[in-house]
Amino acid sequence: MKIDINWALLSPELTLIGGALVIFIVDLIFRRRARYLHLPLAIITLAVASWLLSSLGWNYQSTVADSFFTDRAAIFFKLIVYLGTFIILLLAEGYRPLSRYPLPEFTGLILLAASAMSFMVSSKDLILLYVSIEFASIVSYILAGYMRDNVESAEAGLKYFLFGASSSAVMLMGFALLFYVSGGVTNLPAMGQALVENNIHPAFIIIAFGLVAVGLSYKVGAVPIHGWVPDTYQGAPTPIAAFLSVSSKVAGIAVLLRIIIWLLPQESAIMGPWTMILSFSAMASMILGTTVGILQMNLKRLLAYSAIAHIGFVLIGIIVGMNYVTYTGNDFGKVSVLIYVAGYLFMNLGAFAIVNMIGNATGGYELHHYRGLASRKPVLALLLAVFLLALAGIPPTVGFIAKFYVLAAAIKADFIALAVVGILTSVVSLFLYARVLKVMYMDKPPKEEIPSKPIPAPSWAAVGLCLLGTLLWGIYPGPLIHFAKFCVKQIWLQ
Amino acid sequence: MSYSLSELVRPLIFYLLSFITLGSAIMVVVKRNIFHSALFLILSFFGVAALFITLDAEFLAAVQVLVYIGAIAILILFAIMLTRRISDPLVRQTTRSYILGAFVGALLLFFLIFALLQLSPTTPYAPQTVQGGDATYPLGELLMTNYLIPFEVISVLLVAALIGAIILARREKRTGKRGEKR
Repeated sequence: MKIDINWALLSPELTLIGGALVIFIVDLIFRRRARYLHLPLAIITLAVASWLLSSLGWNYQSTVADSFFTDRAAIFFKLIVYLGTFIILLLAEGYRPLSRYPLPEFTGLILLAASAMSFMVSSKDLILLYVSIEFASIVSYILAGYMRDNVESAEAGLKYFLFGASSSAVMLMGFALLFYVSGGVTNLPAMGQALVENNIHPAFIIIAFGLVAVGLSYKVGAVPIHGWVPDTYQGAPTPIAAFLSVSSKVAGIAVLLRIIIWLLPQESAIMGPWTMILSFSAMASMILGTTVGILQMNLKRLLAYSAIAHIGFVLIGIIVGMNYVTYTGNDFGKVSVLIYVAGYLFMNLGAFAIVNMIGNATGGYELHHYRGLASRKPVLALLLAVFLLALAGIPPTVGFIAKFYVLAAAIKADFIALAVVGILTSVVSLFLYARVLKVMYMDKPPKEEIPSKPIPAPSWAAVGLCLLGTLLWGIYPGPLIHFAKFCVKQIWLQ
Repeated sequence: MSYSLSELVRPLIFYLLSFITLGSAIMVVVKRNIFHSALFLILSFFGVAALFITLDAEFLAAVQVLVYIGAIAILILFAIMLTRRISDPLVRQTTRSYILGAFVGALLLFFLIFALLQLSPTTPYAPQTVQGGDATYPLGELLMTNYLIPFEVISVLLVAALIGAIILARREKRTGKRGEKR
């Protein structure tokens, strides 16, 4: 028995793994003499991986017994993951509390996590999917608890781990049920076909799929399993909180999108209840994220609740995408998911980057540290204002385009209740973000002067990139929308 | 021969093994002494391994014994013995929110039973098992062919877990005043 391996398809992931191993080994050999080498090495690795990815061609291909595939949407999601990883590496360079811990290993583990997420996006096989989800989770637990002498970081890592382990067990149960009734195939589209051919009762599929959804809900931080999000974001190193809120979620969303396309038989008996379950999750995420978010006094917790609310919006896009396409052949919903994810990358990472900088300068993440920030650090305050308004969905930013597309898709597909909840929570979320602006611009700065430390250049580069994405695509969204439509066109091919 | 057991004895053995597995799993949860819980966990793992043997999955049974009993259970016992005061009678061993836990567990059980009742009992969904031979060879071959990528991803995962464990557990050798023992 011999198999053909198309190495080109696997090359981006292999590059990331190889780069991580090189960083570990260089650190072992050169020790402190090569202290600053890990960042350039990681950036080169990411650049090579992205270049290899974009040279794959846009057509659907799969390899190794059809267990690993790429297509346009997979490349899109992977590029988002890599871009997020790149920005996070720049942020980690400017995050002071980390400097007491081994940094090359930190960088290497981030690259390994990126490769795991890349495998998640590209897996077409049940076993590969589960293994890569676990891979991404385990590396994330380590990274969240990386500052082990810090009680909050240890708590963040442990909470993330406990939530992850239990929801992963539930998800595995769902996978096992689906595997059993599909007659022992592990190829995901083949499993979906077998579910139809074996004439499985819809109630069984809904329950098995519900168990899988519990695991994915943990991965993206949507409502049933959202409890870890605030504590983990608050305690974890800020760059890792940003990493979990963007790259990890993007990979989870990609998996959810694929699983729905491949495994759920496109028939009304399952789609109806399933739409209801997802709608409940989306609405609850949006409402809980905005209302509880308003009460938060810590900026990282506030961003965590805002992340929960944003996942609710992405879920609207997924719901529309999975229903609408069966009726008319239009993929408005999926296009909106891709646009939302790309926009969310820039505005959320930008907000985290500024919070990271202000945390370094003022030494804290509580709201009172931001009192009168506009008079002391006008540039940082202005930038934070831009990113927060983008998260709220104010017009000249990409946040508006993203929210507009999702809500338009929902209205066009007659999901009026979802659209109404989305619009209402958008209005309320404006209040959530405006509270920070009020503290920065209206309140008087505290009496005692806090020593301000210089901000390292990589952090500025990260912020510049995020600002460019947020404003450029907000003012001129054409290319992004075209690219998203281009990527979605092929998503049904297997 | 895979059906050397007579049809009468087979179900009997299955129920006996199930009773051992489930009974000791329940004891894991209700025992007040965490060390006893760990010992019952080993018994439960043994029951699962024996069930694998009755299903002609000898390799899985061996792995179950090696990994779950040989590694995981022993690790749990080590962790208990190395943790101070964890088996102290004053330390509460059960969770406070057991009513909620029981409710969620019962809900999950209900859904799973409900789901399995939807399946027709006569249709075999599972694929043909390897008859009258060693399942280990085809398993190894599949790992090296169709499931090559997950296999390799797991090996990278182990590297990452190893590095992470070392970083999280090692005692930092710091220069200066922070170097003192904790």
